[in-house]
Amino acid sequence: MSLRLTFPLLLAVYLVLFAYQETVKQQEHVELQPAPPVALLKTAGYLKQLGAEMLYIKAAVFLGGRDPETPPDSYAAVLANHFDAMTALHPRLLDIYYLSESSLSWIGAQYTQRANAILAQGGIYRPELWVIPFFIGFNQFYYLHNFNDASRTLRTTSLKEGAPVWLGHLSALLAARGGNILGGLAWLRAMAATEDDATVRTRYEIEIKEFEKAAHVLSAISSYQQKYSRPPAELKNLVPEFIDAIPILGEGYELDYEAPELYMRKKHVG
Amino acid sequence: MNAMQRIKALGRIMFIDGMRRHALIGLVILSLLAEAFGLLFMDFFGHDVGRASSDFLFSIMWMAGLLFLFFHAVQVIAWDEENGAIYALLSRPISRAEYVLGVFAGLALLLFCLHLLLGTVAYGTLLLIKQSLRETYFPVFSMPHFVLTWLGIVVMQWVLLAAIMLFSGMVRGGFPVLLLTMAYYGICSGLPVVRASVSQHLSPEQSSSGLTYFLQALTTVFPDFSRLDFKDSVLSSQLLFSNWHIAVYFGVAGLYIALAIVFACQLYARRDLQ
Repeated sequence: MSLRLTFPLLLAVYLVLFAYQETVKQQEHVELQPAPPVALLKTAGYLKQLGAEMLYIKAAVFLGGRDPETPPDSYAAVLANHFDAMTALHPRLLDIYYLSESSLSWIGAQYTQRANAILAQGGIYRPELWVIPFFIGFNQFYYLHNFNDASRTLRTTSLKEGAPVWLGHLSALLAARGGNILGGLAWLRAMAATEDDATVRTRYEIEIKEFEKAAHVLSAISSYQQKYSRPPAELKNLVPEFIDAIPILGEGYELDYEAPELYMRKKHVG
Repeated sequence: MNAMQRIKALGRIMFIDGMRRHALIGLVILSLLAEAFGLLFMDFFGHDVGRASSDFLFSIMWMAGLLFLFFHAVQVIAWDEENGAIYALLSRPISRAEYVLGVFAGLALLLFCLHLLLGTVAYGTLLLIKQSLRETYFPVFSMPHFVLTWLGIVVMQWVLLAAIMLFSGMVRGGFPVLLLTMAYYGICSGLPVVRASVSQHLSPEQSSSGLTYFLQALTTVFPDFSRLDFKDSVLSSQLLFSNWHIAVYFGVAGLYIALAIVFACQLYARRDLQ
């Protein structure tokens, strides 16, 4: 075979094989390989921040390219390992926290806690930002149902510069949902006292009235407990000795009593 | 012609020789293209775009500097010996110490110019990126901190250049010097990780153990380059270190360079060139 024929023949075989290889590659199951150990990655020295950014791109490409049917449990541990490595290498990069919140926190309680640990790193290195502790508070409330922790986190978050005003309100609401009605009331009063916007202040005052009604019931429960050395089994047992009637709350609130705790629940939030 | 003039003349030869090298021109073009890629790199990030772009551009500068050191500086110094140029130079009225200082000065100036060019382009690229984004994605861009970070890279790589001069005085040939330099760079990058790892595993009572002191002593020989890494400050209105700390870090690096060069001068002076 002449040399003139060999090249086109080899090229044709190469292109056919290449096309086949591409087809096989596209059918392959996309997997996220574990990140190298953090200590090893840190030896990149001056390039460690770039290393974190490369890991971020790798994780983002995987999340965007995976089969939507892939069970999240199958990649959650490796993904969390990537975020741990990224935060160890470049804890100031904000994108890591947005991606971990959107891709890890919803997979299960174990991964919500991992996401919150990752976010806590961000809180240390970017203390000026309200969005990172907001993610932590949201996870505590929405995924972990830990209302009191969520309330505390959001309360401190609401004091950060640039934090939206509704964070403080959400904190009071979660405090009441977690059984800390007096804490929520105190926080709402403080917010009303320092609010300059008359419309927002009026809104707080309306909510304060609802919290005060619940606080009144709380006080009746306390009196009942003092007299009988046990909490009432139901709220109606308080009537009429300790309270004239169980108040009906407005603004979408309802009282939820699980002896001995009294909670204020927003009907549409749960 | 006094000693300073002779050192200057040799430095000038080294500088002009470097400017003529095609490999170095190729490195500059490649680095500039890589910096232009920063405009695409930012698209991978949705929030901290300024930080990611800044990290990328400084990393390109760092890598370009390393390529210069490993594949130009090492070869130039070794080339001198392997091709007999050192004999020609030393046969002229120039002392060996002047030779070392002249070569170092020429290469250090070349490295400075490389970083000056890349730094200027990086600064322009970051300004362009900042102007193309809303403030949320690139809130602060501090020029003094950018210059400080840039200076950090230059000084760190001068430290590496001084180490190369030292190694070239110890062993003959480009390849052994390259191997020694890479090993030195690897140790300098890995030692801070080892120190952090050891201190994490030691209790407060053990923190003053022999191993800790040994690792600290090793750091005097293999300096921690991260001390001069100020990348995180570029997007901050406030420096993450005090001015005093910065002065100390640069002072230590400067003294290290001086010590390495003086030691290299002594090695060259005692060396048998036959």
